[in-house]
Amino acid sequence: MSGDMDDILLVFFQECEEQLQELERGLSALSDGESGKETINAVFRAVHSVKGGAASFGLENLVRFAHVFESSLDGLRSGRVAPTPEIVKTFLKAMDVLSDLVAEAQGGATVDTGRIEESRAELQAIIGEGSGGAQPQQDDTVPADFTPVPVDFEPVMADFDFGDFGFDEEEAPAAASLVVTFSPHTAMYDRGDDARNLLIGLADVAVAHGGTSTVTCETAALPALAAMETEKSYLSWRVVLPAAVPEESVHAVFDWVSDVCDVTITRDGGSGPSGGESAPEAAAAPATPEPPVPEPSAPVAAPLEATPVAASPEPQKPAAPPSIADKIMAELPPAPTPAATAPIAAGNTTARRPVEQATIRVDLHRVDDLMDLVGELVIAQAALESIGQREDGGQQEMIKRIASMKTLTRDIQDAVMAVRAQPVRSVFQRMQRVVREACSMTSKDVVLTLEGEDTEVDRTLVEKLSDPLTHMLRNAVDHGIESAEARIAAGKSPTGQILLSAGHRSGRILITIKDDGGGINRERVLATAIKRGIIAPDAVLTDDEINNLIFAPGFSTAATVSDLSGRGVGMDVVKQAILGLGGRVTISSVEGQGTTFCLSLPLTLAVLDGMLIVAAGSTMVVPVSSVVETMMVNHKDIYMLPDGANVVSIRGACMPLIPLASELGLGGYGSGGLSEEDVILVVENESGARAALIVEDIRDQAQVVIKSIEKNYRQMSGVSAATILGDGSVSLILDVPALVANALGRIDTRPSDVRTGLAA
Amino acid sequence: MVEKVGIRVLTVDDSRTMQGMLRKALEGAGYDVIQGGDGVEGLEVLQAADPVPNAIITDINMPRMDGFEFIEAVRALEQYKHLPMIVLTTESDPEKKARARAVGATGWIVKPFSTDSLVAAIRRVTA
Repeated sequence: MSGDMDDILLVFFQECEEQLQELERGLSALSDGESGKETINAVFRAVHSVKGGAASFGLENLVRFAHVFESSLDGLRSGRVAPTPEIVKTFLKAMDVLSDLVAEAQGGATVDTGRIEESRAELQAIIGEGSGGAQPQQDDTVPADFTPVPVDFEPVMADFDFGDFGFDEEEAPAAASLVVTFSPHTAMYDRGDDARNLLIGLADVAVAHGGTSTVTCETAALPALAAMETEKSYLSWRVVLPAAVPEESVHAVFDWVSDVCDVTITRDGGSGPSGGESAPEAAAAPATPEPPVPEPSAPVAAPLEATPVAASPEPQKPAAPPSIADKIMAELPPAPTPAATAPIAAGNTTARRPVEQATIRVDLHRVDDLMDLVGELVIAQAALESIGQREDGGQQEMIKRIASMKTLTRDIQDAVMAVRAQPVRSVFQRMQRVVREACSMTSKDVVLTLEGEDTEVDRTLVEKLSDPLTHMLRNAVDHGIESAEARIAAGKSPTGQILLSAGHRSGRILITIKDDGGGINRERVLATAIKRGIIAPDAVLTDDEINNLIFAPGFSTAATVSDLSGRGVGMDVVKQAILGLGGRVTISSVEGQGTTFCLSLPLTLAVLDGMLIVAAGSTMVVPVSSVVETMMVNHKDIYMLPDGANVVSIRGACMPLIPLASELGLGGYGSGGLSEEDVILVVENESGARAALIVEDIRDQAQVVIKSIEKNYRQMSGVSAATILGDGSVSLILDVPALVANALGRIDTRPSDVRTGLAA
Repeated sequence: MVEKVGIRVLTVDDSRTMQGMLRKALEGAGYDVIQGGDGVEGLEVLQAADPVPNAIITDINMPRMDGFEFIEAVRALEQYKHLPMIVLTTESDPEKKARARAVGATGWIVKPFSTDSLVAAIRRVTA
């Protein structure tokens, strides 16, 4: 039972995520001046949906805030408020609060009450509502008797309008029973309303007040059968309710049909006999134009002795007596109290977190494509079987079939990847907020433009992109974009521009972050790097190498450590994260014009193009992406350095020579015992530094499926994963940059020294 | 297993959360539930439904075709003239209520709903 609810709660949070994205999209469209009805409706609906769902789970903080937000958006929808940039900004801020409240409900950090209040006040100001920020809720949303419901269905408030249960009324002190006469117009039946429902509603009211109702059907207006018109209303009823029932409850029952029936309510003083037409109005009441006849669906059976009391044991225990509920509300300050939602946040939700993204939504046609391919696979398999049974063995035919099977496999692989693919939009849109917040902390004005949000990548990548991008964009705002004064002085617009774009390039995804700021100040970078001991004071570096220094651990050029970045961990972490994804980062920067970061990432983390090589007799895989070129060994080009390490000169460029087998601790080569048969792989790491790996042979180039070695064994330096080859053997996938770094680290600890060593 | 009551309810709501809750609540009470994600889909599901549902629960605020339009469209079809249609919404604006009434809604429940009141409501309109 509660398992079901957990599922639904998961769906809710997932949906919140989608709605927030929808909201973000709508609001950025609005800020671009696109204020079409559809956009505004979509924005409104997003908040509305979050509110609706949240209310169902008793997530009070969320509901309250969403309500205020919704009200202001309603102002927009109705045209009372124009979407000026300021107002859109307020909405964006509110969206951030809303999204944090959703996170809070999911067991995330508690949202600062001050922030909520501030945003709420701004929202209310938009539609010129109570500046006091006091109880915003009217009769709707958070109804007075709304009690925070633990994640379970039970007694959330409901209000069935044409038959209010009336348990929310005070006990009527009068001892006189209540007499209700009720005569529907024909129009009521035309509309599909049923008199029976109303009678049941009254019975419910009676039950709610601890009594029963007595119903008498007034049939006097019925004409002779021959004269009866089946669709007309001829009947009226007289219902006696317990004295405790307040008149309001009765009105509530008839609220829905008040315009299509006559209702009178009188207190029968108990002294006057409640006989027949006691109420004078009752006579006037059935003055309906037409003479009565029972309408088909109306209970014609004359005196309906309504004791539906027993017949309809509707389990409506007076859920929360109003007085108590009011008290609860009174104790709740207008500001959302963390305590109110605490049980939900702390209890059920925390454990749920890890599962949160466990489902994906896939375009149906992609699944269909996959299905088609699987169908073809089945056919291909059948064909192979039939060839196998042939007398002559069908060698040629078999080879042909296997070749087509290979294509098919590749297609299926692509199709499966397409299923896992997701547009980067969700992450990109989150960056809007990152930039917004960075702007408000640094008092800069920056516009983030997104491009290529529809570019698709494997979903695991999409998720893992979030952190590095966040760091990079904060950095771009904090360090990249200059202050408004500096920009004006440099003849630029005071508003900074950052472009975040994504696109596919040769089987990889390329993400670019381009700012129009001051560019990297290389002199300062160099000075800092020397001061921090990252490089030797006399090192000679190219511009590119200097740019790359900002990725070095412990590097920070910010004059003061700002709130946002400047702790000198950011870019280092970014680089590690990108490398961890099998990606590369490159920087280009023009002083005074800005900096561009390019991230190149594989489309998937599941498969890679590998070069199958042999080292110490074992077949291993080197990702093709890290191999620049391959060549035979030429002893003339190999030089030994004084410390015993070898370097190889390839077309005039020297690079460290690393015998793979010994580097992996597999023996094979002593000191420089190279064989003529050996092959050199020139590999390149992310910063463009090259090294030469010596391997015994190159076997093949193939797509390999990545299997985590960490999960099955443990992490090993120099090995990124494992795979299973066509012959069924297990093979290691090498982590080339790590291998090279290890090898060089053994030669010497500091890259600058390697460089000077090489130069010598 | 919940005992079936032989009553089929169509729920129309664009929120999957709400649809999930409705399904759970209604199926838990033995109803047969069919669902549509907005007015357009609701209409399609309704017309394709066999057997025809005994009642409809619809949201108001939905993309493509909202609840009012949906009710109106259903009512325009002769065979559904008397099909009970309950509005389930977070709103309680009297004007909207009046509009719902005018287009032919049978009842109005304010979200969040309790299973009990929802079932009671359906029981009333389908009794």
